[in-house]
Amino acid sequence: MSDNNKFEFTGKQKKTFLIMMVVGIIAVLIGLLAGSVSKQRFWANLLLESVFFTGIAACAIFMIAAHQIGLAGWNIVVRRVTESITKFTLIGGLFIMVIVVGTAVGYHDLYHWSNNFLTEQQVTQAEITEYEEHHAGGHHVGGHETEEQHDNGEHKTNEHDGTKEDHEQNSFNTSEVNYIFTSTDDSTHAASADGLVENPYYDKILDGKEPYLNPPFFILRAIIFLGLWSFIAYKLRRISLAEDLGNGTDAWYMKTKFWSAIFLVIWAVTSSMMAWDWVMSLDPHWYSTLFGWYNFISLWITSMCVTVLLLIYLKSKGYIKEVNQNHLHDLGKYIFGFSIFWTYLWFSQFMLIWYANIPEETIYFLQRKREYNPLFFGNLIINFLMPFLVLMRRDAKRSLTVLTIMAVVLIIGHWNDFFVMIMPATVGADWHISYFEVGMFLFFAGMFLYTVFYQLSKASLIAVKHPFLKESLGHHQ
Amino acid sequence: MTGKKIVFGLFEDEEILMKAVKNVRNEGLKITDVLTPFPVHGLDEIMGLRQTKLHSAGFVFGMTGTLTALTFILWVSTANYPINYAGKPYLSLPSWIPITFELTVLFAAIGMTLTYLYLNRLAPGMKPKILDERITSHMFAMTFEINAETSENKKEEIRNVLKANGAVEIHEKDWDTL
Repeated sequence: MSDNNKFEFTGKQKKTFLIMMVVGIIAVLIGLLAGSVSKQRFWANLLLESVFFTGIAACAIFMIAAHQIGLAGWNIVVRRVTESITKFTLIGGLFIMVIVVGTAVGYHDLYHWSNNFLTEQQVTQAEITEYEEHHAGGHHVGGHETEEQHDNGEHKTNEHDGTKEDHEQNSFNTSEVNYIFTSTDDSTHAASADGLVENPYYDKILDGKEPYLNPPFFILRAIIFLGLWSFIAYKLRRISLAEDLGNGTDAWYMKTKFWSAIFLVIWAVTSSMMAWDWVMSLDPHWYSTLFGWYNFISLWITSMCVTVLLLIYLKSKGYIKEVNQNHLHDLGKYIFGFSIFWTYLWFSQFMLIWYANIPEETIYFLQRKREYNPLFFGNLIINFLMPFLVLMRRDAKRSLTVLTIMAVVLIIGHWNDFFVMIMPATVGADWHISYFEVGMFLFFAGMFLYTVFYQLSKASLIAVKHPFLKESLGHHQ
Repeated sequence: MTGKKIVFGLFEDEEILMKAVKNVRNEGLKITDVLTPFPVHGLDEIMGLRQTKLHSAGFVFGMTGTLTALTFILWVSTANYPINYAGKPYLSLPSWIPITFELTVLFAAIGMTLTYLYLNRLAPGMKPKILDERITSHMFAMTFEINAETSENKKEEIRNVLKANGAVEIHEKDWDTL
């Protein structure tokens, strides 16, 4: 193998990534200190970026595991780049842990189900007052209709007719459900003998979901998911690096196979559950069965786009000449095919809800259509129409320029996809894409790239002793 | 009768064949086709074949399916027999998408299959033109198209080139009587 595969992480690249991170931190600090950015917006952005980048890293583990179990040979020359991406799982995971633990210790800004108050039928008057004080006066969107919303006895029946566009999301859901499921009597504030009164904000649905959606279990799940992913990422990477130094290849190959098989089983369950936990539970009254797969595919496409960009970048710097158009063509096919699969899932989710027309389900799309109109429809155009029309031709998938452009477009597109999933449930109609969002993205992107480049520099860019290397070098189509 | 004839050389090994294709092209002769009993990777590039247009045909078939589905459902559900279901408007695009998608796939798949069969003379009722039975089992053929006006010199050149590059047998057959 030629010696052009010892990647050097130059000082210039380091500086670029550090500057990205510093600029990001400065933007976030300006937003927070100047007071123009609400706490809610900060947490929502942190969640968005941590889930997005951790997901990209975790999907890279899936990429390795799936190809290993599928006995694929073509991707061996690409593998070291994928491996380097997996190493971000742990770092991104730490940020997710900050959010998850923060939720449990009293930051109810993101996951309002974590508030015990909502799932208690009997509470004291003091607790009600405290809750109202905390949630009245503009949680994030002015709050001019909260009084009416919170008064359990006087619900209007036209909640769904679209006249109230910017009410505060949490109380909106709560009161809506009370209206549907519980409030037929007006005897809400009658105190019982032991000083407890009936909780006007009692949320029967959240109470029913409490065995799953409760902070301790929530933290435990996050630890399990991230722990398992990071551990297997570490294992796969270590085995792969040891292979370079070892002699026989069989033992390493079988070990990789073992951990890949275990990972696929774990991933089958955890990929869906992470989406329920970290994204879907932001709207705890709403649920969709295929939400997990939808999230996974979105992240996987992004992960492949990142791989393509890294490969093209490395090639432009004169590294990995072994990776040629045939390998990129295969990745392009994946991106094309899974973009269509993504659309299939998007539409399946949308159409069933549209058809059934049940208010508690349609509210999800209604809110996005009203408050996020350009992003909501832009999502479909960027993530479906663009790859469908541009990447359809063989020449396009073999052209480095077209692939580069489409990879960048799709990374932005799927970031937008997550934005539209996360923001409506957190900041509601009061969304922005400005210096703060860009800053947060830059911070994570800088950190991500620094990790990946550092990992790339640690070993040869080609797994020189992999038993399938020859097949990969001669890959042709 | 077009007077179209095929001169072809039979090869026993794909490695020899690949080298032969390269050499023959370097000498400036135009190869009409190469027939193999199994797919040989990279042969299309060595032969300098252009990409098949089957994809474009597939796109056209697919669009035909899309338009057929959309116009038919549009006509049925708004003009011919409008039914009110779930209080939705007669013209509700989301509910038409699955059928449209299915018909797009159906038209593209069947259309491409039939086109493929037709182009390869495998469609029902067509008799495939097989130069030599052995090409379907273990031998490789490099073919050159000639006609009545082709000079003897040219024919001789083809034969010589084939022989020089490792063809074990050389034949000439009438295309129309195959």
